[in-house]
Amino acid sequence: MSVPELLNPAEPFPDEASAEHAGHLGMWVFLGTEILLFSGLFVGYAYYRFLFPLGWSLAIEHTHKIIGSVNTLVLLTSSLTVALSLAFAKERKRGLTSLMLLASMALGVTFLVLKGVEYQKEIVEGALPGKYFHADFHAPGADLFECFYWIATGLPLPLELVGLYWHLIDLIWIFLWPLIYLTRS
Amino acid sequence: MKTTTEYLLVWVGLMVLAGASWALSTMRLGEAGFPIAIAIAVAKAGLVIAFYMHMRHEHGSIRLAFATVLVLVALLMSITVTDAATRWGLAMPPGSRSSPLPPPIGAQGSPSQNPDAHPRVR
Repeated sequence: MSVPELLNPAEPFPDEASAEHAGHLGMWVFLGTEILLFSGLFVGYAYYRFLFPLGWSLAIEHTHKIIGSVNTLVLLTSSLTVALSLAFAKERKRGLTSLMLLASMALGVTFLVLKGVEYQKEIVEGALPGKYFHADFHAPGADLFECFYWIATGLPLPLELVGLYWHLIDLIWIFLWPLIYLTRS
Repeated sequence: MKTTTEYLLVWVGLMVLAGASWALSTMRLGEAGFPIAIAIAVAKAGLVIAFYMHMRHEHGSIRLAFATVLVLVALLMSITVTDAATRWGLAMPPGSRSSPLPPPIGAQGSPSQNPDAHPRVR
C-alpha cells in the first residue's frame, strides 16, 4: 500500500471498491445472523414434526392453502419488483424505479391483508396454540403445530414493513409455505 | 443479458417451481413428498439468493460468510433431529411417536372419547 493513500486517517478504505465490498460483507453477516435466528424455529418445527406426525398432518390439512399459496406468489413477485427497482435506479430511470417501489408496497399491503383474513379464519375455527386450542381436529401435537403456525407466520410480519429485509422474508416464506401449508403426510 | 430481462426470467422460474410445489402437494405422496418439497424450496431460495440478492456477483469472503451460516444451520438441524430419533422412548413426551405412553387424558389436542372434555369457545 502506497503512503499517500494512508494520509487521511478518517478514511478507512483505500478505494471505492473495497468500501462497497466491506458494506456488502457486513450486510451478509447480518443476514446470516437473521437466518440463524429463524433456524431455531425451523429446527423446533422439525423436532416436533418428527415426534407428532399425525398431529402435524391433520393441522397442515386444516390450514388455508389457497390464501397461503396466493401469498407465496405475492411475496415472490414483490421480490422481483424490489430487485427491478434497484436495477432501474442504477440505470437512472426514475419513473420506472418509483413504479416498481410502489408495486412492492402494494404487494406488501396485499400480503398483510390476506394474512389478516387468514388469521381471522384461524381464530374463529379455534386453531390456536397450546391451551387455547379448540379446533375440530384432535391428535397429539396438533396444538403444538399451531404454536409454530402463529409464531412462524407472525414473526416476519413486522419485519416486512422494513424494506431492508424484503428478500430475506421472501426466503423464509419459501420454506414456510411447504412446511405450514403443503406437506401433509 | 440485460439485468431486467434476467430478473423476469428468474421470476418465471420461481413461478414454475411454485407450481411444482403445489402439484406435489396434491399428489398425496405421504412422507416421500417431504424431501422433494424441501428440495424445490432450496432451488427457489438459491434463485433468489443468486440473482435478486446479487450473490452471483459477490466473491471471496462474502460467499464464505454465507457458506458458514449454511454449515451452522445444517449442524443445528441434523444434531437436534438425531437426538429426537435416538432417545429412549420414556424420555419423550407421552403420545409422541417414540413414546410407549398414550397422551395424558384431557390433554389439549389429544383424541378424546368424551366430547365434553373439549368445551368449545364460540
